[in-house]
Amino acid sequence: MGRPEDTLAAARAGDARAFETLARTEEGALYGHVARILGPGADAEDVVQDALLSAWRSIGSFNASGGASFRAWLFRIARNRAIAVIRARRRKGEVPLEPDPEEGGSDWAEPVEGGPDLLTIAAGREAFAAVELALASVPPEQRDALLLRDVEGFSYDEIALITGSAAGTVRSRIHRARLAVRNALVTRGWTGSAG
Amino acid sequence: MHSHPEGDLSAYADESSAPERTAELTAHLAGCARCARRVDELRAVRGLVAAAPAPRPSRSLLPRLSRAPAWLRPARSLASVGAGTFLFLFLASAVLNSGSNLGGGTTAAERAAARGQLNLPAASDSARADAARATGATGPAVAAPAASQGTPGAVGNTPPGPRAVPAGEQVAAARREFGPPAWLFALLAMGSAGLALGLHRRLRRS
Repeated sequence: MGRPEDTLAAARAGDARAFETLARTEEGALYGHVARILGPGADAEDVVQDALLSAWRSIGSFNASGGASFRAWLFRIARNRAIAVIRARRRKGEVPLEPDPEEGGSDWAEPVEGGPDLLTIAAGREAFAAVELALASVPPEQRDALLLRDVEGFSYDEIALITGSAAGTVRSRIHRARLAVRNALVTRGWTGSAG
Repeated sequence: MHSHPEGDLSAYADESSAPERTAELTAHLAGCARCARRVDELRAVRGLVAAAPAPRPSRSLLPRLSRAPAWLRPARSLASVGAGTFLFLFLASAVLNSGSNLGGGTTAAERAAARGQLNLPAASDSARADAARATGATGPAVAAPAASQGTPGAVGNTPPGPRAVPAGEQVAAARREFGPPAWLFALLAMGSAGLALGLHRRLRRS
């Protein structure tokens, strides 16, 4: 059971330990992703744990020939649960509704002369704190798409499968989210120089 | 309205545009410093987002998946009951043995022997002496000669037989025939308890 394919085959055959081996490699990444959608804490932990349990129970339905990798399949389950929590929060008025992807949010903030360049910002923890703040200000669906691309490295097609969205919607969400982070950094004085 | 294809720049930066669109954008960027700078900015933002440390969970999020076999739970109950039963048998056996060893006459045979009612063909001197002590007779000095002479004495009226079997030995023999020794019960109790504990731990892990 050394190769990932063998481990996956064993898990699909009902080997719980094989599934745990697979889940253990993705546990941290799944939590990191869900925590950035819901905010870190018990909600995100519960969502990931429930998602892994759900994945185990339905692993027989996973079809590698369907185009999605096992990793993408896991992210899809966890991400769908996280978005369901977001929607529940929206119903309670805790989270604003997602803006229309075709409207607004496409303006580019202009950098102020004399601000720090990217290398200066990236050199300190302050930069990452600024990025996290900027991400938190992005609508959850856009943030989801951006993180799946920039942090997890999924292709646009995989993100479309994971989120159940059209390719154009994925492109739009990623661009808007990235632009929002860029503008947030610019408002903190970043000149926009790539260094 | 837009002469700059800004909405397509992220996909271009990610090399995820369609080939023909990529060619168009490449041609545009070659002559547009502004859009070229935007692409650089977007790539820089991508690097920052990718490098930002992700939150970590405070606990393991792996659900317990290993399911215990169905027979494990009844087996644990059976082992527990067995351990209790064998422990009881061991204690009961130990109490009976200790009573016999102390000469307290805990069995019916011993009490009968002590009262002189046991129909023994010929009791040993010590048995008769014990019985005499128990009944308050004159003592071994009196009882022993009577037994040795083979006349009806203090113990009973049965005529002497060809071979004398002591009462204690007879009781012990009866017990040996009746059941296994106490140490066997102790061993079985410990074995059952160990098995029950092992099954309990296995159930807790699953």
